[in-house]
Amino acid sequence: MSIMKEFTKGFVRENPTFRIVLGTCPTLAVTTLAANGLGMGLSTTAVLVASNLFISLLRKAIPDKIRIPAYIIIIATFVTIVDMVLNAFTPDLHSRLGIFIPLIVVNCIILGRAEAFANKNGVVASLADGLGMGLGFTLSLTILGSLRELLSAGTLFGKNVMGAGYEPFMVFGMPTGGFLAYGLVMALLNYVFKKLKLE
Amino acid sequence: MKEVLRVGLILMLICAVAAGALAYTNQVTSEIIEKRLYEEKVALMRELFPTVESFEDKEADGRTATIAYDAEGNLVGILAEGKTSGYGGDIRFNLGIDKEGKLVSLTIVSHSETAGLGARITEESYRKQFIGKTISDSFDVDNISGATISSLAMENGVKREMEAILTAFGGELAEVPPAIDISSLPDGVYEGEGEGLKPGIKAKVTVAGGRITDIEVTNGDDTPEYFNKAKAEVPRRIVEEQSVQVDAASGATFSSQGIMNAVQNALQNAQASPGLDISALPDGVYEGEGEGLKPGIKVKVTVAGGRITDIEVTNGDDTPEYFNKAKAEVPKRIIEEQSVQVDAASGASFSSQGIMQAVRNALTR
Repeated sequence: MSIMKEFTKGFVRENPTFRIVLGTCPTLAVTTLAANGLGMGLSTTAVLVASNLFISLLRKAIPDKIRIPAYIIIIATFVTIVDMVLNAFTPDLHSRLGIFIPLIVVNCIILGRAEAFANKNGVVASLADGLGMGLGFTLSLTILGSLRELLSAGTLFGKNVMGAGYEPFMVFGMPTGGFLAYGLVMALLNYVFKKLKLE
Repeated sequence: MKEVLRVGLILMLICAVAAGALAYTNQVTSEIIEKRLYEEKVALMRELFPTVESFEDKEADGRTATIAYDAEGNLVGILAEGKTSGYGGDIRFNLGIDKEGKLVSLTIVSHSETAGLGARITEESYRKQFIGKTISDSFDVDNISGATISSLAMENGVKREMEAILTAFGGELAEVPPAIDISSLPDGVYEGEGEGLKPGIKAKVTVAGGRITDIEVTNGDDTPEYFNKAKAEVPRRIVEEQSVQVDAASGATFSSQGIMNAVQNALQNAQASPGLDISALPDGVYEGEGEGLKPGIKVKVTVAGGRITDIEVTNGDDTPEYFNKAKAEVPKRIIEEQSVQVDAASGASFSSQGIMQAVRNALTR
């Protein structure tokens, strides 16, 4: 498989949110607003790329028996470092993403990619996989966030786009609406994939 | 066994490297973060309290607050955190209170209210409704429709926490009132009103021989827990020290200050209205006029043997419903107490004051 293919598979074909269905908990929790989805996606991407890189580097040194605790330590360390660095050098970004960063540790996409890809593949392929999967996750979260924000508040990234007369669909701002939006988008994608005979 | 040791060592090695990396990052970033937080705080304090020159963190009643001082070291503002229970959990907010006891800033620190409904408490258009309020104002602001619980939590929470913050840290906010020469005051019982946490603290001050001899606190709507502390301490201290500015009862700064204000107010009333020596008046019937809600209250006061023996209210244009209450009570009290300053008939303060004024007017003619 070419590096390009490893990079692009995460966007649609193996999209972590809609195709592999990993990381549903942060997906449902943070997609109330488009900006939240984007922020969570980008922070996850940063951690995913770094953890994929290190796990791929260390894949021969880490014995199979202790790979899970080793991965978790590596991921948690990266999350904490990202948290501290963002706080020190980009305080604005940190104050917006602050609440999502600890959530990344428990995001199963990261452990999932380490387990399914980085520990079997080389450094470059793992980087491409991490970046692609991360951006695919970002894309999904931004789409879900935009949809929910648009329906529940009539705004997009905080800007009013539906006009003053718009009667908001409150339910999409609540957890119930998270499941509804997630399910509807996934159903649409499944339908499209069937029609296009992609599976 | 050898295998266990090997994987154990590797895991330990990974942990050690991770710990080292974290320690290094922390060392590099923590200083920058602390410096930035401090600068942000300085900027915030400047914005909230323009005259701030220095500030320090203080702890009282289990709260921490940042107290701002101006160049002369006077307190110019308080910034402290409060919390209330919203719909989804605790709502934590920062309150900035200036030296006049007005709320100058309300920011939401964290909340778990529903997005699009209760979460709108963070919007400036909602928060700014609270700005400029003091604790004696009504905190009934426009609610967020569809989020009554969050809105009510904010209204009650902000007011309650503001009171608590002022109680804990606001002691230095009280202004020193002008001194009154107690020894020059005529004998008598004077009433005054003051404002503690809430308005309506009333005190009756007895002055005899140029000294305050007794203080009775007749009303107060502050939280009884604190108010009773103040009531037990402050009047005693005032009588002891013969000064209206005494130490506040600890833990009840505002109520204490309220009582002092009420006493001060009473003594000011005493200065304004020179005493009336009824016993020196010659026998006779005196007529006087006073003003209640409307002018034209007329009385005939009979003095015999240095005592007020009868009062007849001959005219009064106030609403009869209230005026008759006052007419039934006030003259009786004046005769009983032989004083022109008596308790007003409840629900008829204005008419009562009018009758007292008329009697005083009659006797001073």
